[in-house]
Amino acid sequence: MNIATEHVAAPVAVAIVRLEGDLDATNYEQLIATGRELAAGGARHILVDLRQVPYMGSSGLVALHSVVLAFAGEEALDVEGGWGAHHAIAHSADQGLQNGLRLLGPVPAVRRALERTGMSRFIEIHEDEAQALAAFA
Amino acid sequence: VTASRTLRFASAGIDDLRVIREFVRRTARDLGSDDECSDALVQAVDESATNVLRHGYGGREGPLDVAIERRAEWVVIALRDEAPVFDPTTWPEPDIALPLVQRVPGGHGIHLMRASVDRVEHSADGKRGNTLTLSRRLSEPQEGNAG
Repeated sequence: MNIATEHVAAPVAVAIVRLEGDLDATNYEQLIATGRELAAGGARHILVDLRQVPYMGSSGLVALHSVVLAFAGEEALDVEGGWGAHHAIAHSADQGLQNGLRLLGPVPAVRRALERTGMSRFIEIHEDEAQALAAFA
Repeated sequence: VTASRTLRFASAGIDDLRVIREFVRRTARDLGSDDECSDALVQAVDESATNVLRHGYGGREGPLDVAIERRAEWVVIALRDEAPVFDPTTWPEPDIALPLVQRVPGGHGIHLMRASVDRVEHSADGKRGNTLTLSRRLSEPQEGNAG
């Protein structure tokens, strides 16, 4: 999987993380590391571009959640956390912290995985990049 | 149409997941699956194989067979391993209608696996070795390519 990061300044500062390739148990830690680096560098908004991700396993879902936590200033959870990870997402949602992460353009298979695990209730999904960026404002 | 294909690993590791997904996708399509059905089968097998390789074999490599066949309007996939016996069908089902804070912790990989197919069956002999059978009904009657 390739990960490319770019930063846009308007309408608010957003780090766009563009993924290319399957996101699975072999590489999900790369996304967690990227999220942690961005959070440590002061980023407050992140848009994960999933348009070029043909497949995402449950490890990818945990990676997305770990990025949420990184941006919330919390420790990322281990993949072994299982549904405990989703429990923590609810905690973040209660605090409105999930708004720091939005997703762009998941293919139908990835969208179904997000929906089947309830992730899509707590992380906004956009189909248009400009609208996604504007939503952070 | 009756057809079956098997992908056999004497020693599979986590890096083989991509090959397994590609095999399932290509074969499911050849057997008559549409995109949604193929996607679901790929998800179910990937989650199952990931569990075997990460947990069953503890991150080490081990034998794994993935056999796919079409039975009437069903695509049936059997995963066979030699890991300690583990039955994912008994894993607690999370209720995603509940507020998240009330959910019972568990494996969301297993949840995704079960949610992606119509039927999951597990069998085992002794203390090692599992056969996990994943079945999904084709979306509508379609012709497959035997072979």
